[in-house]
Amino acid sequence: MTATVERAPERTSGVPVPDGRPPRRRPAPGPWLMSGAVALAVCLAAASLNGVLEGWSWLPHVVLAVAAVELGTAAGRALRWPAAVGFLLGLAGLVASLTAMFLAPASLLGVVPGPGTARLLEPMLAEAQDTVVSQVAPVLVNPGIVLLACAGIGVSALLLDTIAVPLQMPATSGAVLLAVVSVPAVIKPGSIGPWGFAAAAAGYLLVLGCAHWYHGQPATLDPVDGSGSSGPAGRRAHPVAGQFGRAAAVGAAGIAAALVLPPAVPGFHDGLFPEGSRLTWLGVPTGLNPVVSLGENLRRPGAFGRMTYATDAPTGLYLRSVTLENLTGARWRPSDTRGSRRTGVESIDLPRIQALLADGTVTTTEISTSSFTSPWLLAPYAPARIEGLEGTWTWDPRTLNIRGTAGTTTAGQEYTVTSVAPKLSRALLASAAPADVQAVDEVFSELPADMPRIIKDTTEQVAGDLDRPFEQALAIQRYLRGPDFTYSEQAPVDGGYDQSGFGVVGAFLEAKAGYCVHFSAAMAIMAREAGIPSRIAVGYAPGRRTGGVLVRGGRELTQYEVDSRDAHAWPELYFDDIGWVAFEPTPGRGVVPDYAQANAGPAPGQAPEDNLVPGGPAPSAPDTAPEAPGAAPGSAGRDPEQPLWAAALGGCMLLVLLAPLLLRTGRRRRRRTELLSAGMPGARAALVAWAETLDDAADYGQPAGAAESAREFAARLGASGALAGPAVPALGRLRAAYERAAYADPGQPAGGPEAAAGKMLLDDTGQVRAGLRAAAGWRQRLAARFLPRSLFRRR
Amino acid sequence: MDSQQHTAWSETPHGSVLSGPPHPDAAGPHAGGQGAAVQEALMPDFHETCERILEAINTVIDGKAEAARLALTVLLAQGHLLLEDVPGVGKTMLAKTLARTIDCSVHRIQFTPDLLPSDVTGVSIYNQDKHTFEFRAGPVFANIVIGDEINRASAKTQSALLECMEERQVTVDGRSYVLADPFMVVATQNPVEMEGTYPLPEAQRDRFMARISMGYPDARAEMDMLGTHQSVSPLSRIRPVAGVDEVRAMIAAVHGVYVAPAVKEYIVALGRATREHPFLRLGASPRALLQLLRAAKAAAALDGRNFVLPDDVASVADAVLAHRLMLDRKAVTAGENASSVLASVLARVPVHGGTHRLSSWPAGDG
Repeated sequence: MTATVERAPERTSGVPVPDGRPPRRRPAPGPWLMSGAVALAVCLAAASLNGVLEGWSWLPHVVLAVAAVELGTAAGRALRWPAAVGFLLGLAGLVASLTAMFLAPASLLGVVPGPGTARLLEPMLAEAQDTVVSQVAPVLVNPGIVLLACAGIGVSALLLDTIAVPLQMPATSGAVLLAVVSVPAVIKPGSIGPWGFAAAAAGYLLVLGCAHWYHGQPATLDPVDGSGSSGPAGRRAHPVAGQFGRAAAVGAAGIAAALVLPPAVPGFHDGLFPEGSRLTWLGVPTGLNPVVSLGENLRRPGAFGRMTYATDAPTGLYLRSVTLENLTGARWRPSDTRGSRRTGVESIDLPRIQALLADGTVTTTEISTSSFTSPWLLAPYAPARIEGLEGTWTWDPRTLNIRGTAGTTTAGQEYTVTSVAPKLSRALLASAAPADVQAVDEVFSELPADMPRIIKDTTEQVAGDLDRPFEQALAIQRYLRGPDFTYSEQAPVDGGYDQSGFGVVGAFLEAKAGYCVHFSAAMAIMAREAGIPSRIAVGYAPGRRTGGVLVRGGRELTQYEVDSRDAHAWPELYFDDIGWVAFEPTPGRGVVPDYAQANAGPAPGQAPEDNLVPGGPAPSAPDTAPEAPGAAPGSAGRDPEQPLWAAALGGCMLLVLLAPLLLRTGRRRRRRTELLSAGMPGARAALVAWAETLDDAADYGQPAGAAESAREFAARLGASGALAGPAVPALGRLRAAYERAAYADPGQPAGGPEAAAGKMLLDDTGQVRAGLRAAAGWRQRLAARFLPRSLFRRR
Repeated sequence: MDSQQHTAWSETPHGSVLSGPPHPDAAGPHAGGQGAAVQEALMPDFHETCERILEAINTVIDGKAEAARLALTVLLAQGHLLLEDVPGVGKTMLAKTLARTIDCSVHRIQFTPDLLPSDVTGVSIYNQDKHTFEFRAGPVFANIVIGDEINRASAKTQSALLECMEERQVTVDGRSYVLADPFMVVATQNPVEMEGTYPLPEAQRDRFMARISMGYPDARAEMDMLGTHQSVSPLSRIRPVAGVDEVRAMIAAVHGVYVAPAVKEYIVALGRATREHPFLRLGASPRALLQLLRAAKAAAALDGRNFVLPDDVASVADAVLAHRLMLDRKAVTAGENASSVLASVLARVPVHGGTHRLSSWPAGDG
């Protein structure tokens, strides 16, 4: 039963060094196999990235990076260097492989990052950030995204290796694999099929099995060295008792990770696009993945990520974050405008904007983004002045997208936007001539060559016989808002067109069901087909009034709130001499601007000229809702449940921190009860008491070696000064009782002193514990109490 | 075939023994089946007797308490003892003292290159009066046989003795004669590098339960020795402190010492570890493990216990196993010897005990 015979050291590989020195190091295959298993497991799990990265061309790079990491750690282990050195070797392997694959021009000798690395790295990271932020999974592969994937997976491999091998917690290391797999799972629902899961699970089992085998191997490669007893070789390969304790400890660690990680990762637990849509696995803040996160947010039953804005406009505003105008690629994305961006958002000095400040409609809006994190600033269109921002912001003269640079995001910003719009009226729009396509950037009117037939046909059918652009636009909007189309957040998922791209629009026009992204994209593309330059704006619908009113400089600003349910997309169409005009083709969402109302003719009391922004005004409804006194504007953005959550979280964390203490105390209590219970065989009592004493000794840094007999252990404790006074004879009694219980003939009445009663044994364990405690330093006492080593001891 | 001229009787000429003639047929069955209950009753006596014997030996051999204890252990375990060291450190003295303290028959054989097997075992001679062959028992027919400088005899003669040790009987002309009980051979041997020696082959070393290297005494013990030994041999003052029946009972008591399965597992694990050790060409044989177990039982009994601890095993492991292990060439070049390799094995092999079996209680076995 307990015959754990040690594994045979491989004789064949135990070739001694020929110069007569003792063979200190033996090149056993163990470390290499172990590292190979880790590498294979990580690669298997990484294969599921296929769900979010297009194709397989990235896989060799990832495999190379992982292999480099594992080569490093394996070399460290094979050379019997300390675990920390192995870790560093793995890290070095990762850096070297990344340098060789991606940054070779700036490197020294091809593998060492050289002086120009940062310069080379910057555009790649920016590219990756753009990809993550703007593309819909599966994203197209580019060097930046592959670099980040390699780095992420490489670090995962290093982490897995460290947890599984030096820390000897192979079971826990599965969390790393889970993390790798969860990236595609979270980014794109359904992207991991059963095969992806099976591959990751197989990798996990491989690591478990290999680690079990590896840790069971004799590590004492120097057979003369008697110190091997503390190495893994001396340990039992098959843990029998204490499994529950360790399982509980591992479970506690898991819970701790689950509780601690989300708050530690910004924007994971709340914010506008929480729980994965802004997963920071690529190390860049991503806020508005315009299609998928938007759809996810809409599909989510509850609202979250509340933020507020207060405006002096008579009605709620559309807050625009970014526009998608580059519609010809496989994925829609904002046009690459890095070169043309300008700084200085305090004054957006386009002549037209500045002119509108004088004769257009000027609106002042105060926005508090709370935890919404995105590189693109939310602002009503068209921003002319933005004040109160922190960080560095740039704007694009073509789209007026405002974007943070150098890591600046919208999180926690409070700023004031002065926006302008031309006085817009139906008559004015109707008079617009067909757009001179040459006048605007061609990115706004480009269409791909292989456009689905159905788009062309539908456009022809809807707007073919109209010649004024505004009429065409109205016709398209009317068509999309018509009875044929239904608003559905789920249909695109079920129909498999919950992405971006022209195929999606084709599918949408076939199925005639979708949500704002599909409606707005359809309208934008059909408008282009009809000759009107267009783009898709992504942001928020106006939201709801909070009832609050802010007073700023004598003006009253009505406060609104928006949350995830208001995430929205709408088309903007370009009209000559007028500029960009928003439409609202999505039924049941947002507000159709008056100029775009299907039933022509302004309603009584309305001033169509004031329809500066999409989302027509409601001037007849003055903001009369009383504001609760004392409701500070900032407080509106706070979640009232937060303190409760914080308390619960704190409680949980405290529980996790105290888990080892509680587990150890529980174990001690159990033994105590057992010792005090009547009718228990004396031998059993002695074994229990001895186990408790061994645990106590381990807690105080005096663990019994596997090859150490009870007698040697007791003698060592007595000689080392870890015990003194009455604890020494107490330990002697415990030892004698244990020896009798463990080794004497169970069929015979014990000779010599009768097996001591449980109570006496219990007292002795208390004395030994007190003795250990008296001899220990304060650090050891703390550790013994809060992180008892006996919980993690292998038996 | 005149064996007498080559056989040197140092103390007791053949036939005149302290407790009467040897009883070749007197070997009764080993009283091992009596179990621990009987042994429990014997224990107080047992310990006392052991102490008496050891004390007596210590008055003669200064500073060699450990060697004396091991010698007694081997006697109680019914094994044979090989004393190996350079001349003049008291090998023969120890053997003789041990024999003297017990009131039993003792023969000494001085091994020389021309000693013949029949000089050890005995010979059949023709009785002209009765017209029959009569067996004249050799010096091996005694309770304790001291084989001095065993490695100076030819291989053939060595084999004769070793066969007796294993078989505990002598076969001459087709007839078997059972040796005395208890029967113990204490052989002394000079290190093989000395001149004029035939080193014992491995297979024959394996017959000895234990090998003890005496080592030089420390300075104080040597001073004492110079004081006490100058006038009269202290050996002459030794009086037997235990009878042969007493020893037999003690051996029976040792036989009844309980060995927990965990201890057997430990012994097996030790054996396997020596066989798999990269420094060892030859590990412990099954016979070696059996002897290790028996020696451990005797050590436990000497310690006053009726059950064996892993510590007992460890305490005799070096004496029992070291002379059977054959070092690999690379171990020799690394400056290792059998004892150091064995120490590393002991430091590595896990000691199993009741703690590990807590989870399987009460299905456990101890």
